[in-house]
Amino acid sequence: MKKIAMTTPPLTEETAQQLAAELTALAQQEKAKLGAADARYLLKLVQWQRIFAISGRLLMLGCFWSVWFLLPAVLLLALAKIIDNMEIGHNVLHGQYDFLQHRYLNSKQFEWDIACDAKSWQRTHNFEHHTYTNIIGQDRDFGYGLLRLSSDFRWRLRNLWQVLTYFMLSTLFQWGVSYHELAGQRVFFGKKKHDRNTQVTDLELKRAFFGKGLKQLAKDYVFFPLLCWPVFGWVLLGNFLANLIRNWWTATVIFCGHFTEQIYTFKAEDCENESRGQWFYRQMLGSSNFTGPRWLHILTGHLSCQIEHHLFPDLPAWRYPELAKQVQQIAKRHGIPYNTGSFASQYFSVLRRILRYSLPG
Amino acid sequence: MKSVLMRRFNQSLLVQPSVRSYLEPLIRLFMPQYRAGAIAAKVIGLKKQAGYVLLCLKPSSKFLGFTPGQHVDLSIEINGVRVQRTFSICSSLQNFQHQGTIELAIKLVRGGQLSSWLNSAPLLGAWVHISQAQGDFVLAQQKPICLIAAGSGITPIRAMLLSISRMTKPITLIYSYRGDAVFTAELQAMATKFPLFKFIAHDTATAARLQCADILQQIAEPADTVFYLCGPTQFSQTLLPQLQQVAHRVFHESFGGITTDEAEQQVAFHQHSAKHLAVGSGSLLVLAEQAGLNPRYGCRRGICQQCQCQKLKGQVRNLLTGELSGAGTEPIQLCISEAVTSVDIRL
Repeated sequence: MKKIAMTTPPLTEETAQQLAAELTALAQQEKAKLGAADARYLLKLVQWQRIFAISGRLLMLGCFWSVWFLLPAVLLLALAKIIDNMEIGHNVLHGQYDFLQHRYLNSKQFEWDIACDAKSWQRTHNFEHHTYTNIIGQDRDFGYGLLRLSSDFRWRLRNLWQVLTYFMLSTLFQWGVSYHELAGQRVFFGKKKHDRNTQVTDLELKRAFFGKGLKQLAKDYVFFPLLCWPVFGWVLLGNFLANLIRNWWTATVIFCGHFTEQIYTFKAEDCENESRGQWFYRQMLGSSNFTGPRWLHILTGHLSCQIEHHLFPDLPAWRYPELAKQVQQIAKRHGIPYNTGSFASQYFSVLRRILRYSLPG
Repeated sequence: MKSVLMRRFNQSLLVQPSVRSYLEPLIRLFMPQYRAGAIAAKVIGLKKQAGYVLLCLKPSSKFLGFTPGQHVDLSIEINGVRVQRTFSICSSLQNFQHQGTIELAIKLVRGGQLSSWLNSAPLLGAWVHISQAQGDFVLAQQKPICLIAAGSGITPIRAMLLSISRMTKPITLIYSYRGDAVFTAELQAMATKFPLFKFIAHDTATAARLQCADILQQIAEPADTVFYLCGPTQFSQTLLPQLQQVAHRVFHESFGGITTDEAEQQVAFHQHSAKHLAVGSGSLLVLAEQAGLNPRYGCRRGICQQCQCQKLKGQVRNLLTGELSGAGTEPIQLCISEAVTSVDIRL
């Protein structure tokens, strides 16, 4: 069987410096353009999100007359949740829109319609994942401690059925995300790591996990169903399905961004004291894009431009498709691989990777 | 108790701080000026006077009024970005009661964000947003009063004076400025109208800087007089201790004057209503840690935004790009920011 884990092509310090200079210049150039267009985009986005959410919840009441109301209602609610989590939540929590000085759509105050506490996600995602992208042992997003996705990990028997584990993870994705930090800090299970440096106590982690999780459960499975009493069961089912669709969608998008076959992984010792250019380089090799129409980009929170997102995590995401053209040119000029393809081809590539590493080697 | 419950309720059901902030985007479809948690105010007048712009605003009925001497936070959106500054209300209470308007005097600064906005856009009829009036720098008229203003420090004092309908105790106003003086004609007119009111203008462009002795010269019984001091930080910091030696009651309000480049800057970290001072150069994150504080951080190299804090005032330099920030309230990343003026930060 073909071995797909690749050794990273070396990067001379000179190229690294050039790369850093070019990408920094690109970011500066884009930063100078920030302003009213971003404010308008964000406002429109939130307007649509509210319209989808409210109409979805109201349509569920239609189950009183016909069960067929459930279908559009679930789709609208799922759409609202996807937009809230991906294009609004993920990007606002990255601080992409902080320059607008918005009163509540900012990375300090925003909360999203998902089981994961926003602050906990910021620590594991913004800090850990974006700083140590694809460094084995430091970026726990690589396989989430559940899947073996490269030969850097020792093969275990449970990896044999990891396709099923992957399916379960996708299905319960919001809970996986919310439990992620607690798993890393070994709050409930496992031996504590002594070298782990954390500013948050286990108690705070537990509070955030149960606090936010229970709020979400109460909202979707107790309050809204009770509010629509005669159709209690249908509303409960509708909310469950909307959450499920959102879970599958987000998991799929995220797997396409980091676990396609052509992704590179890194060793911690190779990344010590890396320069800005080397960091940029690692971000480019560790991420993959996929192409598609504009609505697809929006529904993925522009994580379809994962490479640009990793290079410029604090630029408003709707600007990535334009930036991608220039980033691709820069990559080409320096002979750096630029991993992109159609949504379907990238997704099948992910499945192949999961299957490949189910087996030893 | 009720409000805590309501907040919990909103956070759980709407995943938003309030019903208003949930609905704001939709309300803005037919009421573009609506902002949750702020009071919309319409610009209905604009006057230029000696280096100042007098902005006349008509706030919505949500504005509860003010006590002369108080200030409001003014937010305007410039190219989509909210810019917020604090200004004292300089118009009288009667004005607000009769016409429902308030005035803010904004000093024009060359290259200033707000100043260029005031100069460029067609402002009449535009919407801005204000907070409720705040502050305890207000007048009590039981004793003789001495008001001392420097520069824009005249604005709250003008509101105090204009709102007095019957003067029962002597009031002395000493107004120190350099070149640009506002409201002087008005204040002179007041001095002729009220025999108890004495107005002394002190132009530091022609005279020496205002000293404590100059002030005391004008006051018969300093120990029995209540002093009100309003001006740039440096101004009140010098005069305050001197006045406190002779007078029993000195009220003061100061605003950040930007000091120029020094290698080491004073940084004030505000945390849970306590203020920690630190002096030094380099990364603000390191400075905070050296001061014994424990701010949140992550990558320490400007990627993850974990150490992002609100800068209340002062200017910082981005250590990665060398860019200078604005002077007002805005978010900064502690790990890659260095103070170039004295800076206030909320951790």
